[in-house]
Amino acid sequence: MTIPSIALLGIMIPILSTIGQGIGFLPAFIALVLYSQLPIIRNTYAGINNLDPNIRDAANGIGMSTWQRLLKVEIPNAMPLIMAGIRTATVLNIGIGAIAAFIGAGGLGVLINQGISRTNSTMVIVGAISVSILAIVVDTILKMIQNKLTPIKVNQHKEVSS
Amino acid sequence: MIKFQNVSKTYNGNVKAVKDVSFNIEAGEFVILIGPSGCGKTSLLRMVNQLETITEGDIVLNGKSVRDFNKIEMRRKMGYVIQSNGLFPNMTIEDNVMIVPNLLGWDKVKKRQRYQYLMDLIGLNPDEYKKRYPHQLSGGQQQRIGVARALAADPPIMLMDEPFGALDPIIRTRLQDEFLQIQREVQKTILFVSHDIDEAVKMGDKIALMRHGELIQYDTPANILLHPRHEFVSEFVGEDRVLKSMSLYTVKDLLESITLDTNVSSTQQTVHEQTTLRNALSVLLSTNSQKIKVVDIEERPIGTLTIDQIEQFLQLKAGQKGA
Ligand SMILES: Nc1ncnc2c1ncn2[C@@H]1O[C@H](COP(=O)(O)OP(=O)(O)OP(=O)(O)O)[C@@H](O)[C@H]1O
Ligand SMILES: [Mg+2]
Repeated sequence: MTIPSIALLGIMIPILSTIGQGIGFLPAFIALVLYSQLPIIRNTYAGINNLDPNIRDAANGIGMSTWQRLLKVEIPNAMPLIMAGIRTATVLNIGIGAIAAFIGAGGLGVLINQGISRTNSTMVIVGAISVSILAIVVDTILKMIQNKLTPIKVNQHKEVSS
Repeated sequence: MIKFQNVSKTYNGNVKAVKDVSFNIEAGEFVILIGPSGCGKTSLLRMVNQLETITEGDIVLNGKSVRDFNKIEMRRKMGYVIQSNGLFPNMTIEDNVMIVPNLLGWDKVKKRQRYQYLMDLIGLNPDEYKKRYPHQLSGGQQQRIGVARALAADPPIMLMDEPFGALDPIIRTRLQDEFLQIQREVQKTILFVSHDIDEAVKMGDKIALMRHGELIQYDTPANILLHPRHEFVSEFVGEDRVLKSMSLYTVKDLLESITLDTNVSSTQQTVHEQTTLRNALSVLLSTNSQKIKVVDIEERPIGTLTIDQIEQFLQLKAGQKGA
Protein backbone atom coordinates (compact mmCIF):
# COMPACT_ATOMS: atom_id res chain seq x y z
CA MET A 1 0.00 0.00 0.00
CA THR A 2 3.01 2.24 0.58
CA ILE A 3 4.05 1.97 -3.06
CA PRO A 4 1.89 4.33 -5.18
CA SER A 5 0.01 2.35 -7.78
CA ILE A 6 1.33 4.30 -10.72
CA ALA A 7 4.89 3.68 -9.52
CA LEU A 8 4.24 -0.04 -9.16
CA LEU A 9 2.88 -0.12 -12.71
CA GLY A 10 5.97 1.78 -13.82
CA ILE A 11 8.35 -0.61 -12.09
CA MET A 12 6.70 -3.59 -13.71
CA ILE A 13 7.12 -2.27 -17.26
CA PRO A 14 10.89 -3.02 -17.54
CA ILE A 15 10.57 -6.26 -15.56
CA LEU A 16 7.75 -7.67 -17.64
CA SER A 17 9.26 -6.33 -20.86
CA THR A 18 11.79 -9.16 -20.61
CA ILE A 19 8.93 -11.51 -21.48
CA GLY A 20 7.41 -9.08 -23.91
CA GLN A 21 4.50 -8.10 -21.64
CA GLY A 22 5.71 -4.68 -20.39
CA ILE A 23 2.46 -2.92 -21.05
CA GLY A 24 -1.12 -4.08 -21.37
CA PHE A 25 -3.30 -6.42 -19.37
CA LEU A 26 -0.75 -8.60 -17.53
CA PRO A 27 1.07 -5.90 -15.49
CA ALA A 28 -2.25 -4.35 -14.55
CA PHE A 29 -3.54 -7.72 -13.45
CA ILE A 30 -0.45 -8.44 -11.34
CA ALA A 31 -0.64 -5.03 -9.71
CA LEU A 32 -4.30 -5.54 -8.82
CA VAL A 33 -3.60 -8.94 -7.29
CA LEU A 34 -0.71 -7.52 -5.24
CA TYR A 35 -2.76 -4.60 -4.02
CA SER A 36 -5.72 -6.72 -3.00
CA GLN A 37 -3.55 -9.00 -0.85
CA LEU A 38 -2.77 -6.39 1.72
CA PRO A 39 -6.22 -5.45 3.04
CA ILE A 40 -7.48 -9.02 2.80
CA ILE A 41 -4.55 -10.62 4.59
CA ARG A 42 -4.30 -7.88 7.16
CA ASN A 43 -8.01 -8.05 7.99
CA THR A 44 -8.10 -11.84 8.05
CA TYR A 45 -5.16 -11.86 10.40
CA ALA A 46 -6.66 -9.19 12.65
CA GLY A 47 -10.05 -10.93 12.68
CA ILE A 48 -8.61 -14.27 13.74
CA ASN A 49 -6.12 -12.74 16.12
CA ASN A 50 -8.70 -10.63 17.92
CA LEU A 51 -11.06 -13.54 18.57
CA ASP A 52 -12.03 -13.78 22.25
CA PRO A 53 -9.41 -16.15 23.72
CA ASN A 54 -12.13 -17.92 25.72
CA ILE A 55 -13.77 -18.99 22.50
CA ARG A 56 -10.56 -20.41 21.10
CA ASP A 57 -10.05 -22.09 24.44
CA ALA A 58 -13.50 -23.66 24.33
CA ALA A 59 -12.83 -24.91 20.80
CA ASN A 60 -9.63 -26.60 21.98
CA GLY A 61 -11.25 -27.83 25.16
CA ILE A 62 -14.05 -29.72 23.43
CA GLY A 63 -11.55 -31.44 21.16
CA MET A 64 -11.50 -29.61 17.84
CA SER A 65 -8.46 -30.10 15.62
CA THR A 66 -6.62 -26.99 14.43
CA TRP A 67 -8.42 -27.16 11.09
CA GLN A 68 -11.84 -27.65 12.64
CA ARG A 69 -11.21 -24.70 14.91
CA LEU A 70 -10.15 -22.56 11.98
CA LEU A 71 -13.07 -23.53 9.73
CA LYS A 72 -15.89 -23.77 12.28
CA VAL A 73 -14.94 -21.06 14.74
CA GLU A 74 -12.15 -18.71 13.79
CA ILE A 75 -13.01 -17.89 10.17
CA PRO A 76 -16.79 -17.57 10.74
CA ASN A 77 -16.21 -15.19 13.63
CA ALA A 78 -13.62 -13.20 11.68
CA MET A 79 -15.96 -13.05 8.66
CA PRO A 80 -17.06 -9.41 9.06
CA LEU A 81 -13.45 -8.26 9.07
CA ILE A 82 -12.46 -10.58 6.24
CA MET A 83 -15.37 -9.29 4.15
CA ALA A 84 -14.46 -5.70 5.03
CA GLY A 85 -10.98 -6.45 3.70
CA ILE A 86 -12.39 -7.91 0.51
CA ARG A 87 -14.58 -4.84 0.05
CA THR A 88 -11.67 -2.48 0.60
CA ALA A 89 -9.55 -4.44 -1.84
CA THR A 90 -12.28 -4.46 -4.48
CA VAL A 91 -12.96 -0.74 -4.33
CA LEU A 92 -9.23 -0.07 -4.31
CA ASN A 93 -8.80 -2.28 -7.35
CA ILE A 94 -11.49 -0.51 -9.31
CA GLY A 95 -9.58 2.72 -8.70
CA ILE A 96 -6.22 1.26 -9.62
CA GLY A 97 -7.79 -0.46 -12.62
CA ALA A 98 -8.66 2.99 -13.96
CA ILE A 99 -5.06 4.15 -13.58
CA ALA A 100 -3.89 1.03 -15.37
CA ALA A 101 -5.25 2.54 -18.58
CA PHE A 102 -2.04 4.62 -18.60
CA ILE A 103 -0.09 1.48 -19.43
CA GLY A 104 -2.58 0.40 -22.03
CA ALA A 105 -4.56 -2.12 -20.06
CA GLY A 106 -7.89 -0.78 -21.38
CA GLY A 107 -11.11 -0.47 -19.35
CA LEU A 108 -13.03 2.53 -18.07
CA GLY A 109 -9.78 4.35 -17.28
CA VAL A 110 -9.32 4.80 -21.04
CA LEU A 111 -12.17 7.35 -21.04
CA ILE A 112 -10.46 9.40 -18.32
CA ASN A 113 -7.06 9.01 -19.90
CA GLN A 114 -8.19 10.11 -23.36
CA GLY A 115 -10.40 12.82 -21.90
CA ILE A 116 -7.39 14.33 -20.18
CA SER A 117 -5.18 14.22 -23.28
CA ARG A 118 -7.93 15.69 -25.47
CA THR A 119 -8.88 18.21 -22.71
CA ASN A 120 -12.42 16.89 -23.07
CA SER A 121 -13.88 17.43 -19.58
CA THR A 122 -17.18 15.67 -20.43
CA MET A 123 -15.28 12.52 -21.27
CA VAL A 124 -13.30 12.74 -18.01
CA ILE A 125 -16.48 13.23 -15.96
CA VAL A 126 -18.32 10.38 -17.69
CA GLY A 127 -15.33 8.12 -17.06
CA ALA A 128 -14.99 9.16 -13.43
CA ILE A 129 -18.70 8.77 -12.70
CA SER A 130 -18.78 5.34 -14.34
CA VAL A 131 -15.84 4.19 -12.24
CA SER A 132 -17.53 5.56 -9.10
CA ILE A 133 -20.85 3.91 -9.86
CA LEU A 134 -19.09 0.63 -10.54
CA ALA A 135 -17.27 0.87 -7.20
CA ILE A 136 -20.45 1.69 -5.27
CA VAL A 137 -22.51 -1.06 -6.92
CA VAL A 138 -19.86 -3.72 -6.38
CA ASP A 139 -19.38 -2.63 -2.77
CA THR A 140 -23.13 -2.79 -2.12
CA ILE A 141 -23.36 -6.28 -3.60
CA LEU A 142 -20.45 -7.43 -1.45
CA LYS A 143 -22.08 -5.94 1.59
CA MET A 144 -25.23 -7.92 0.86
CA ILE A 145 -23.16 -11.08 0.56
CA GLN A 146 -21.48 -10.25 3.84
CA ASN A 147 -24.82 -9.87 5.58
CA LYS A 148 -25.91 -13.26 4.28
CA LEU A 149 -22.67 -14.91 5.37
CA THR A 150 -22.40 -13.64 8.91
CA PRO A 151 -24.74 -14.41 11.77
CA ILE A 152 -26.58 -11.73 13.67
CA LYS A 153 -24.11 -11.22 16.47
CA VAL A 154 -21.13 -10.63 14.26
CA ASN A 155 -23.09 -8.28 12.02
CA GLN A 156 -24.24 -6.20 14.92
CA HIS A 157 -20.65 -5.86 16.00
CA LYS A 158 -19.81 -4.50 12.59
CA GLU A 159 -22.74 -2.10 12.55
CA VAL A 160 -21.78 -0.69 15.93
CA SER A 161 -18.13 -0.28 15.11
CA SER A 162 -18.48 1.10 11.59
CA MET B 1 -8.89 -43.20 37.87
CA ILE B 2 -7.31 -39.72 37.84
CA LYS B 3 -4.09 -39.53 39.82
CA PHE B 4 -2.37 -36.22 40.47
CA GLN B 5 1.27 -36.98 41.22
CA ASN B 6 3.30 -34.07 42.61
CA VAL B 7 1.80 -31.76 40.00
CA SER B 8 3.29 -28.27 39.71
CA LYS B 9 2.54 -25.50 37.27
CA THR B 10 4.78 -22.51 36.67
CA TYR B 11 3.76 -19.82 34.18
CA ASN B 12 6.48 -17.89 32.33
CA GLY B 13 9.15 -19.41 34.55
CA ASN B 14 8.17 -17.45 37.67
CA VAL B 15 4.41 -17.53 38.50
CA LYS B 16 3.97 -20.64 40.63
CA ALA B 17 0.26 -21.37 40.20
CA VAL B 18 0.19 -24.99 41.41
CA LYS B 19 2.72 -26.46 43.85
CA ASP B 20 3.34 -30.16 44.30
CA VAL B 21 -0.29 -31.28 44.38
CA SER B 22 -1.01 -34.99 44.85
CA PHE B 23 -4.36 -36.74 45.23
CA ASN B 24 -6.45 -39.46 43.61
CA ILE B 25 -9.93 -39.36 42.17
CA GLU B 26 -11.73 -42.70 41.98
CA ALA B 27 -14.04 -43.60 39.10
CA GLY B 28 -17.52 -42.18 39.64
CA GLU B 29 -16.36 -39.76 42.29
CA PHE B 30 -17.54 -36.15 42.42
CA VAL B 31 -14.62 -34.01 43.56
CA ILE B 32 -14.87 -30.31 44.30
CA LEU B 33 -11.83 -28.06 43.90
CA ILE B 34 -12.22 -25.07 46.13
CA GLY B 35 -10.15 -22.20 47.45
CA PRO B 36 -9.70 -18.43 47.28
CA SER B 37 -9.45 -16.66 43.93
CA GLY B 38 -6.09 -17.19 42.24
CA CYS B 39 -5.16 -20.30 44.25
CA GLY B 40 -4.69 -22.36 41.08
CA LYS B 41 -8.00 -24.20 40.66
CA THR B 42 -8.40 -23.41 36.97
CA SER B 43 -4.73 -24.14 36.32
CA LEU B 44 -5.02 -27.57 37.93
CA LEU B 45 -8.20 -28.37 36.01
CA ARG B 46 -6.73 -27.34 32.67
CA MET B 47 -3.73 -29.59 33.09
CA VAL B 48 -6.06 -32.59 33.13
CA ASN B 49 -7.23 -32.03 29.55
CA GLN B 50 -3.83 -30.65 28.55
CA LEU B 51 -5.00 -27.14 27.79
CA GLU B 52 -2.04 -26.28 30.00
CA THR B 53 1.19 -28.24 30.08
CA ILE B 54 2.29 -29.85 33.33
CA THR B 55 5.50 -28.18 34.50
CA GLU B 56 6.47 -30.88 36.99
CA GLY B 57 4.91 -34.14 38.15
CA ASP B 58 2.25 -36.02 36.22
CA ILE B 59 -1.48 -36.59 35.90
CA VAL B 60 -2.28 -40.22 35.27
CA LEU B 61 -5.59 -41.23 33.75
CA ASN B 62 -6.44 -44.95 33.90
CA GLY B 63 -2.79 -45.80 34.30
CA LYS B 64 -1.56 -43.61 31.44
CA SER B 65 -0.08 -40.12 31.62
CA VAL B 66 -2.38 -37.49 30.11
CA ARG B 67 0.65 -36.34 28.14
CA ASP B 68 0.63 -39.61 26.20
CA PHE B 69 -2.99 -39.44 25.04
CA ASN B 70 -4.11 -38.07 21.70
CA LYS B 71 -5.24 -34.65 22.94
CA ILE B 72 -8.18 -34.31 20.58
CA GLU B 73 -9.64 -37.74 21.29
CA MET B 74 -9.07 -37.35 25.00
CA ARG B 75 -10.81 -33.98 25.16
CA ARG B 76 -13.88 -35.36 23.41
CA LYS B 77 -14.23 -37.83 26.27
CA MET B 78 -13.94 -35.09 28.87
CA GLY B 79 -16.81 -32.66 29.08
CA TYR B 80 -15.31 -29.25 29.73
CA VAL B 81 -17.28 -26.32 31.11
CA ILE B 82 -15.14 -23.23 30.79
CA GLN B 83 -15.27 -20.60 33.55
CA SER B 84 -16.63 -17.93 31.19
CA ASN B 85 -18.95 -20.28 29.22
CA GLY B 86 -17.10 -19.74 25.89
CA LEU B 87 -20.06 -20.38 23.59
CA PHE B 88 -19.40 -19.97 19.88
CA PRO B 89 -21.05 -16.66 18.81
CA ASN B 90 -21.35 -17.76 15.19
CA MET B 91 -23.37 -20.89 15.97
CA THR B 92 -27.00 -21.34 16.97
CA ILE B 93 -27.82 -22.76 20.39
CA GLU B 94 -28.52 -26.14 18.84
CA ASP B 95 -25.17 -26.16 17.05
CA ASN B 96 -23.41 -25.06 20.20
CA VAL B 97 -24.98 -27.78 22.33
CA MET B 98 -24.43 -30.48 19.73
CA ILE B 99 -20.91 -29.56 18.69
CA VAL B 100 -19.19 -32.64 20.12
CA PRO B 101 -21.79 -35.11 18.76
CA ASN B 102 -21.34 -33.34 15.42
CA LEU B 103 -17.58 -33.75 15.58
CA LEU B 104 -18.10 -37.40 16.49
CA GLY B 105 -20.52 -37.84 13.58
CA TRP B 106 -23.65 -39.00 15.40
CA ASP B 107 -26.70 -39.73 13.26
CA LYS B 108 -29.56 -37.23 12.99
CA VAL B 109 -32.16 -39.06 15.04
CA LYS B 110 -29.81 -39.65 17.94
CA LYS B 111 -28.72 -36.03 17.85
CA ARG B 112 -32.26 -34.69 17.85
CA GLN B 113 -33.23 -36.84 20.84
CA ARG B 114 -30.11 -35.86 22.71
CA TYR B 115 -30.70 -32.16 22.07
CA GLN B 116 -34.25 -32.41 23.39
CA TYR B 117 -33.09 -34.32 26.44
CA LEU B 118 -30.30 -31.88 27.28
CA MET B 119 -32.46 -28.79 26.92
CA ASP B 120 -35.16 -30.31 29.11
CA LEU B 121 -32.48 -31.12 31.62
CA ILE B 122 -31.20 -27.56 31.90
CA GLY B 123 -34.74 -26.19 31.86
CA LEU B 124 -34.76 -24.37 28.52
CA ASN B 125 -37.37 -24.96 25.83
CA PRO B 126 -35.68 -26.95 23.02
CA ASP B 127 -37.65 -25.38 20.17
CA GLU B 128 -37.67 -21.84 21.45
CA TYR B 129 -33.90 -21.63 21.72
CA LYS B 130 -32.90 -23.89 18.82
CA LYS B 131 -32.28 -21.16 16.25
CA ARG B 132 -31.17 -18.43 18.61
CA TYR B 133 -27.60 -17.22 18.98
CA PRO B 134 -25.70 -17.07 22.28
CA HIS B 135 -25.82 -13.26 22.54
CA GLN B 136 -29.62 -13.48 22.57
CA LEU B 137 -29.51 -15.35 25.89
CA SER B 138 -28.99 -14.10 29.42
CA GLY B 139 -25.72 -14.84 31.20
CA GLY B 140 -27.33 -17.58 33.28
CA GLN B 141 -28.92 -19.18 30.22
CA GLN B 142 -25.59 -19.11 28.41
CA GLN B 143 -23.97 -20.81 31.35
CA ARG B 144 -26.58 -23.55 31.27
CA ILE B 145 -25.97 -24.04 27.54
CA GLY B 146 -22.28 -24.39 28.42
CA VAL B 147 -23.15 -27.21 30.81
CA ALA B 148 -25.38 -28.88 28.21
CA ARG B 149 -22.59 -28.65 25.62
CA ALA B 150 -20.17 -30.38 27.98
CA LEU B 151 -22.69 -33.15 28.72
CA ALA B 152 -23.72 -33.62 25.08
CA ALA B 153 -21.69 -36.66 24.10
CA ASP B 154 -22.14 -38.22 27.55
CA PRO B 155 -18.43 -38.15 28.43
CA PRO B 156 -17.28 -40.34 31.32
CA ILE B 157 -15.25 -37.47 32.79
CA MET B 158 -16.45 -33.92 33.40
CA LEU B 159 -14.20 -30.94 34.11
CA MET B 160 -16.36 -28.07 35.28
CA ASP B 161 -14.98 -24.64 36.09
CA GLU B 162 -17.52 -22.79 38.26
CA PRO B 163 -20.38 -23.93 36.04
CA PHE B 164 -23.08 -22.45 38.25
CA GLY B 165 -21.25 -19.25 39.13
CA ALA B 166 -23.49 -16.73 37.38
CA LEU B 167 -26.85 -18.26 38.28
CA ASP B 168 -29.48 -16.94 40.65
CA PRO B 169 -30.02 -19.03 43.80
CA ILE B 170 -33.22 -20.72 42.58
CA ILE B 171 -31.85 -21.90 39.23
CA ARG B 172 -28.56 -22.68 40.89
CA THR B 173 -30.19 -24.95 43.44
CA ARG B 174 -32.27 -26.58 40.74
CA LEU B 175 -29.27 -27.27 38.54
CA GLN B 176 -27.30 -28.57 41.51
CA ASP B 177 -30.13 -30.97 42.34
CA GLU B 178 -30.53 -31.99 38.69
CA PHE B 179 -26.84 -32.53 38.42
CA LEU B 180 -26.71 -34.67 41.56
CA GLN B 181 -29.63 -36.63 40.14
CA ILE B 182 -27.80 -37.26 36.85
CA GLN B 183 -24.71 -38.15 38.81
CA ARG B 184 -26.57 -40.79 40.79
CA GLU B 185 -27.80 -42.32 37.54
CA VAL B 186 -24.73 -42.16 35.32
CA GLN B 187 -21.84 -41.97 37.79
CA LYS B 188 -19.46 -39.74 35.92
CA THR B 189 -16.08 -38.86 37.33
CA ILE B 190 -16.30 -35.15 37.99
CA LEU B 191 -13.78 -32.48 38.87
CA PHE B 192 -15.79 -29.39 39.70
CA VAL B 193 -14.36 -25.98 40.61
CA SER B 194 -16.37 -23.90 43.05
CA HIS B 195 -15.72 -21.04 45.39
CA ASP B 196 -18.86 -21.69 47.39
CA ILE B 197 -18.35 -23.97 50.40
CA ASP B 198 -22.09 -24.67 50.65
CA GLU B 199 -22.10 -25.88 47.07
CA ALA B 200 -19.01 -27.97 47.78
CA VAL B 201 -20.54 -29.58 50.86
CA LYS B 202 -23.78 -30.28 49.03
CA MET B 203 -22.31 -31.67 45.81
CA GLY B 204 -18.97 -33.24 46.57
CA ASP B 205 -18.04 -36.77 47.58
CA LYS B 206 -14.66 -35.22 48.32
CA ILE B 207 -13.40 -31.67 48.64
CA ALA B 208 -9.91 -30.54 47.65
CA LEU B 209 -9.18 -27.27 49.40
CA MET B 210 -6.34 -25.22 47.93
CA ARG B 211 -4.42 -22.11 48.92
CA HIS B 212 -1.56 -20.36 47.07
CA GLY B 213 -1.25 -23.32 44.72
CA GLU B 214 -0.97 -25.89 47.50
CA LEU B 215 -3.45 -28.60 48.39
CA ILE B 216 -4.29 -28.02 52.05
CA GLN B 217 -6.79 -30.82 52.70
CA TYR B 218 -8.38 -33.47 50.52
CA ASP B 219 -11.22 -35.11 52.37
CA THR B 220 -14.92 -35.84 52.63
CA PRO B 221 -17.17 -32.83 53.28
CA ALA B 222 -17.85 -34.15 56.78
CA ASN B 223 -14.16 -34.29 57.63
CA ILE B 224 -13.46 -30.91 56.08
CA LEU B 225 -16.19 -29.42 58.27
CA LEU B 226 -15.78 -31.41 61.46
CA HIS B 227 -12.08 -32.32 61.37
CA PRO B 228 -10.24 -29.46 59.68
CA ARG B 229 -6.55 -30.38 59.62
CA HIS B 230 -5.26 -26.85 59.23
CA GLU B 231 -6.22 -23.48 60.64
CA PHE B 232 -6.85 -22.23 57.12
CA VAL B 233 -9.46 -24.96 56.57
CA SER B 234 -11.57 -23.92 59.54
CA GLU B 235 -11.14 -20.29 58.56
CA PHE B 236 -12.20 -21.00 55.00
CA VAL B 237 -15.28 -23.05 55.83
CA GLY B 238 -16.43 -20.47 58.36
CA GLU B 239 -17.38 -20.33 62.02
CA ASP B 240 -20.69 -21.94 61.22
CA ARG B 241 -18.94 -25.12 60.04
CA VAL B 242 -20.82 -27.28 62.55
CA LEU B 243 -24.09 -25.84 61.32
CA LYS B 244 -22.99 -26.49 57.74
CA SER B 245 -22.13 -30.06 58.59
CA MET B 246 -25.75 -30.52 59.61
CA SER B 247 -26.86 -30.35 55.99
CA LEU B 248 -24.81 -33.50 55.38
CA TYR B 249 -27.07 -35.58 57.58
CA THR B 250 -30.77 -36.35 57.53
CA VAL B 251 -32.96 -37.12 60.49
CA LYS B 252 -32.82 -40.71 59.29
CA ASP B 253 -29.03 -40.75 59.78
CA LEU B 254 -29.58 -39.56 63.32
CA LEU B 255 -32.07 -42.38 63.95
CA GLU B 256 -29.29 -44.89 63.34
CA SER B 257 -27.46 -43.87 66.47
CA ILE B 258 -30.07 -42.17 68.62
CA THR B 259 -33.42 -43.52 69.77
CA LEU B 260 -36.32 -41.10 69.74
CA ASP B 261 -39.07 -40.84 72.29
CA THR B 262 -41.98 -42.58 70.60
CA ASN B 263 -44.56 -40.73 72.65
CA VAL B 264 -45.93 -38.34 69.98
CA SER B 265 -48.74 -35.88 70.39
CA SER B 266 -50.55 -34.67 67.27
CA THR B 267 -50.13 -30.96 67.93
CA GLN B 268 -46.42 -30.86 67.29
CA GLN B 269 -44.69 -29.48 64.17
CA THR B 270 -43.79 -32.27 61.78
CA VAL B 271 -40.66 -33.08 59.73
CA HIS B 272 -39.98 -35.98 57.38
CA GLU B 273 -37.17 -38.35 58.16
CA GLN B 274 -35.43 -37.29 54.89
CA THR B 275 -35.17 -33.71 56.14
CA THR B 276 -31.61 -32.53 56.75
CA LEU B 277 -30.65 -31.94 60.35
CA ARG B 278 -30.02 -28.32 59.46
CA ASN B 279 -33.62 -27.85 58.37
CA ALA B 280 -34.91 -29.88 61.30
CA LEU B 281 -33.01 -27.62 63.67
CA SER B 282 -34.42 -24.59 61.93
CA VAL B 283 -37.94 -25.94 62.41
CA LEU B 284 -37.16 -26.71 66.03
CA LEU B 285 -35.95 -23.16 66.63
CA SER B 286 -39.06 -21.70 65.08
CA THR B 287 -41.49 -23.62 67.26
CA ASN B 288 -42.32 -22.77 70.83
CA SER B 289 -42.29 -26.35 71.99
CA GLN B 290 -38.97 -28.06 72.58
CA LYS B 291 -39.90 -31.00 70.34
CA ILE B 292 -40.88 -31.80 66.77
CA LYS B 293 -42.55 -34.87 65.41
CA VAL B 294 -40.66 -37.05 62.92
CA VAL B 295 -42.65 -39.01 60.33
CA ASP B 296 -41.57 -41.49 57.63
CA ILE B 297 -42.34 -41.30 53.90
CA GLU B 298 -45.88 -42.58 54.44
CA GLU B 299 -46.48 -39.94 57.12
CA ARG B 300 -46.42 -42.54 59.92
CA PRO B 301 -45.07 -41.00 63.13
CA ILE B 302 -41.68 -42.29 64.28
CA GLY B 303 -41.07 -40.26 67.40
CA THR B 304 -40.14 -36.82 68.74
CA LEU B 305 -36.85 -35.04 68.20
CA THR B 306 -35.23 -32.47 70.51
CA ILE B 307 -32.35 -30.03 70.15
CA ASP B 308 -30.43 -31.99 72.76
CA GLN B 309 -30.60 -35.09 70.59
CA ILE B 310 -29.24 -33.22 67.58
CA GLU B 311 -26.39 -31.91 69.68
CA GLN B 312 -25.72 -35.41 70.97
CA PHE B 313 -25.56 -36.74 67.40
CA LEU B 314 -23.18 -34.00 66.26
CA GLN B 315 -20.85 -34.66 69.17
CA LEU B 316 -20.90 -38.29 68.18
CA LYS B 317 -19.93 -37.37 64.60
CA ALA B 318 -17.26 -34.90 65.69
CA GLY B 319 -15.76 -37.64 67.82
CA GLN B 320 -15.52 -40.12 64.95
CA LYS B 321 -12.28 -39.62 63.03
CA GLY B 322 -12.39 -40.24 59.29
CA ALA B 323 -16.13 -40.56 58.83
N1 LIG C 1 -1.90 -18.01 31.40
C1 LIG C 1 -1.35 -17.54 32.53
N2 LIG C 1 -0.17 -16.89 32.51
C2 LIG C 1 0.40 -16.42 33.65
N3 LIG C 1 -0.15 -16.53 34.85
C3 LIG C 1 -1.33 -17.17 34.96
C4 LIG C 1 -1.99 -17.70 33.80
N4 LIG C 1 -3.15 -18.27 34.20
C5 LIG C 1 -3.21 -18.11 35.54
N5 LIG C 1 -2.13 -17.46 36.01
C6 LIG C 1 -1.83 -17.13 37.41
O1 LIG C 1 -1.80 -18.34 38.14
C7 LIG C 1 -2.45 -18.20 39.39
C8 LIG C 1 -3.59 -19.19 39.50
O2 LIG C 1 -4.61 -18.85 38.57
P1 LIG C 1 -5.91 -19.71 38.35
O3 LIG C 1 -6.65 -19.14 37.21
O4 LIG C 1 -5.54 -21.14 38.28
O5 LIG C 1 -6.68 -19.42 39.73
P2 LIG C 1 -8.16 -19.82 40.16
O6 LIG C 1 -8.00 -20.54 41.46
O7 LIG C 1 -8.87 -20.53 39.09
O8 LIG C 1 -8.81 -18.41 40.46
P3 LIG C 1 -10.35 -17.91 40.27
O9 LIG C 1 -11.12 -18.46 41.42
O10 LIG C 1 -10.24 -16.42 40.35
O11 LIG C 1 -10.83 -18.39 38.94
C9 LIG C 1 -2.88 -16.74 39.48
O12 LIG C 1 -1.91 -16.04 40.20
C10 LIG C 1 -2.92 -16.29 38.04
O13 LIG C 1 -2.63 -14.92 37.94
MG1 LIG D 1 -10.51 -20.05 37.90
